[in-house]
Amino acid sequence: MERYEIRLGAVGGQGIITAGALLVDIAVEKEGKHALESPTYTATVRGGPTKVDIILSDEKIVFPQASQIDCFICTYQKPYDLYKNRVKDDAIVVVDSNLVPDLGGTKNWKLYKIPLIHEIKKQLGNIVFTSVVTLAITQKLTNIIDYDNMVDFVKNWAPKGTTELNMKAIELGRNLV
Amino acid sequence: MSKRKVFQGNIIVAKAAIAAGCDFFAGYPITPSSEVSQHLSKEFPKMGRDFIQMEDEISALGACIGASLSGKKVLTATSGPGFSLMQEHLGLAVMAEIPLVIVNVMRGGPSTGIPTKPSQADMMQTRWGTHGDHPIIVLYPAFADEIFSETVRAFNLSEKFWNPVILLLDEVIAKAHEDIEIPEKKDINIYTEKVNVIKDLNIYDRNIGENPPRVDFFKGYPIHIDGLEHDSHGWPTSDPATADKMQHLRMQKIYHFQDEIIKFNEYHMEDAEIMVFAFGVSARAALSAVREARDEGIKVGLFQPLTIWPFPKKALQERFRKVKKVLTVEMNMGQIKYEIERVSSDDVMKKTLLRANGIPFTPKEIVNSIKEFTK
Amino acid sequence: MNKYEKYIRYQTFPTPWCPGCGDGIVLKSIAMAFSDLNLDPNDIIVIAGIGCSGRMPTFFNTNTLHTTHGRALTFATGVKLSRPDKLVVVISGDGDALAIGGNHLIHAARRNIGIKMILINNGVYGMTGGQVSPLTPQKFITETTPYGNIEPKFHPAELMIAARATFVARETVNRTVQLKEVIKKSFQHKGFSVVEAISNCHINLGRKNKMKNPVKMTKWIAERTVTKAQYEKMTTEERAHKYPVGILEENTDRYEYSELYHKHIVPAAKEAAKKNNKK
Repeated sequence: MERYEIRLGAVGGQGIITAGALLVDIAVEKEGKHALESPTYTATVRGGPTKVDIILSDEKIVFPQASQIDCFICTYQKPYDLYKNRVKDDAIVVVDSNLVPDLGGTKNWKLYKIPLIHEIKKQLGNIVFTSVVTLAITQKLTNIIDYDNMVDFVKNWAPKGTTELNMKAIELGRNLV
Repeated sequence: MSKRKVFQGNIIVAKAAIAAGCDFFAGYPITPSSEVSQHLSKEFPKMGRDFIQMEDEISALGACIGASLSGKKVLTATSGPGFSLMQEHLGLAVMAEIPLVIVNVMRGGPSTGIPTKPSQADMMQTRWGTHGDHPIIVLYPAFADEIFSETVRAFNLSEKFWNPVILLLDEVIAKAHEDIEIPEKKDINIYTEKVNVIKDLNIYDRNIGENPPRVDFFKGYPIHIDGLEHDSHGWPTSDPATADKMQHLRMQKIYHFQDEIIKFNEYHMEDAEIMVFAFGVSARAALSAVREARDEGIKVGLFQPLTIWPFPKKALQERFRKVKKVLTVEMNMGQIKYEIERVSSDDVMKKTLLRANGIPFTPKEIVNSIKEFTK
Repeated sequence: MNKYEKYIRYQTFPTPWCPGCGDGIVLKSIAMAFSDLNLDPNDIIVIAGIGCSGRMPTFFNTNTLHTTHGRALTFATGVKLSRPDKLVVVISGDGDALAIGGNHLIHAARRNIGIKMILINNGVYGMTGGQVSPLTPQKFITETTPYGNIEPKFHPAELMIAARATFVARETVNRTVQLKEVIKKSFQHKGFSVVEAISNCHINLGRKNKMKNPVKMTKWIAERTVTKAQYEKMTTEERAHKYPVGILEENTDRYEYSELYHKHIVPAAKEAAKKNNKK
């Protein structure tokens, strides 16, 4: 696999940093890939626009910043406006259809508009599952990590008593796209 | 299953410090280095090692010096504004010849600067920050595995040469989470100076160029350590001949052993006609750029110093016998470029790529600069 | 040889102090306190900052460290946390402790780290030639207050109590026996202790203020100090410009910092690690 870049954009508290961490951990620990993840931090974490860039590759990652983004998932308008600049022409792009109403600057993307947050609240009752839902969406659309590896890893990682809901979160993610 | 795991750069520093036998940390919170102290505040007590958060960076380094003299291997971590405050005690550590390691995760400056954005603008401050002539060792890793190995090396060098060692890191690398295979204990080479029982006060007595022995408090004979210029007993003096000898003792212990201290990486330099000189995140961008330019048939290589100070003068002068073009890439308004000018003759063409706005150079920008340089 | 002389490093004499300076009395009082407690010189460290008092460690035949201006306490914190079993003494002047080092002073007191501080208060910057300090009395003439000092001074002992120091005492160089005794008591205290020793700088402060010899100046000090018992009986009017001497605060209830760290935090962390490993 050549260098593949993923960007997750949201507002603080939506759980994308966890999604990014899970993705790189699965890629590295389960599949022996190389990975680098750069989340935004401190003042910008709670409530403000936030992003996490993930770079995956079979080779050691040389340049540590995302510059040609292959996949962009964004759940809010402000981060969409701020962080779409380095997204490639032919990228896979997923946006929350309710929370990103203005899709200015669209390129020749494979675009998915889904009511992500709404569905998570409705079907899982808590937006903390956004992280696992986003992970499942990324897995399905990019196939960058193996599905079974993801399920295995999330089962192990899930805090006691949440395994079933996290499995439901994976299913929801896959059904949404 | 891979042996590699993902850790943040700052956490790799903390893990390497633990592996190197560091058993005392004093610090003050500052972005973007705080994870080093957070991690050690959690891990050190489990091992019975000491952690304290002080009232500022001046006191943090003061506490480190006190602990180092009490037999501990010490670490502090900071960023530009905190590093500025540390200069006073850095000078005392150099003067009294005290081993310690300072991590400086650089941010934009001057003053409070841009706390959450990278910069490479403390290059000269690490060399000349504290007042007076002084020897210093500065290491600068770029990749996750280098963060680990250079942190361990920083402790080893500080122990061996009885001198502070500064580890520079770029914000983008310190804050990024990257995969690394943490070496096993048996594969980590740790240098620890054995402190013998001290029999007299003549603790600084040695010949110029000699590697000093480490002395500590509470080792059987009550010694004196001073920030004033001192004689071989550590006692204050303003005698010109003694001062002259002590100045040379301190400077020479680093320069005499510079071949041992200086480390660098070279990439694609075998037949290079253009050399890119870059460190930290700039070196990582430059390596991508060099490979891209090579694909287009340009004979270009990268020289990445892991030791910034002492400056790799000899190695560079050897390269400049063949390579007649050097492109210096640094995230500042021009600092190391003066060192390149100093160590190269006029027949070497020099070009720079400089920027200090918090945005690292991309490989593409460096490729473009290399291409222009071929003309 | 007197018993206390084993704690004096005569090889480093002479001292840089002027004839009649109170620093010599403090030096001897500390050495006598070491001697009374029969301490091993290798188990003691004396640390100081910059100034006339800063030179004092050199003259003790113990482990000694001469540091930067105002910051001896920071080095001492590192030593004490590393070696809680050792006696860590810090000597400081009033400019050193309360101007440049004020922040370190209040934090060391707040932490209750077992450092034994001797704060020599001579009301002036002596070594630099007699400039105003945070403890120079108002209206006094100094090299940088040629028309009289307009700044109010700190009351260091009271400041230390407010900063939660657990042992605070004040003595003067006139009362040598009491000074030695109170230093000795502070050495036996577990937490942070500070002994303010009011001293005379007749050369750099006295001369400009009609007290050009040590006799006049120590007399002036004597007039301004009363015992704690006397002070407590005085009216507010009587208390003006009078300072109580003796032990002003002694609290043995609070844990010393390095003890708290090593006996409470370390076991708690080890316990937490064990639990985590079981999971």
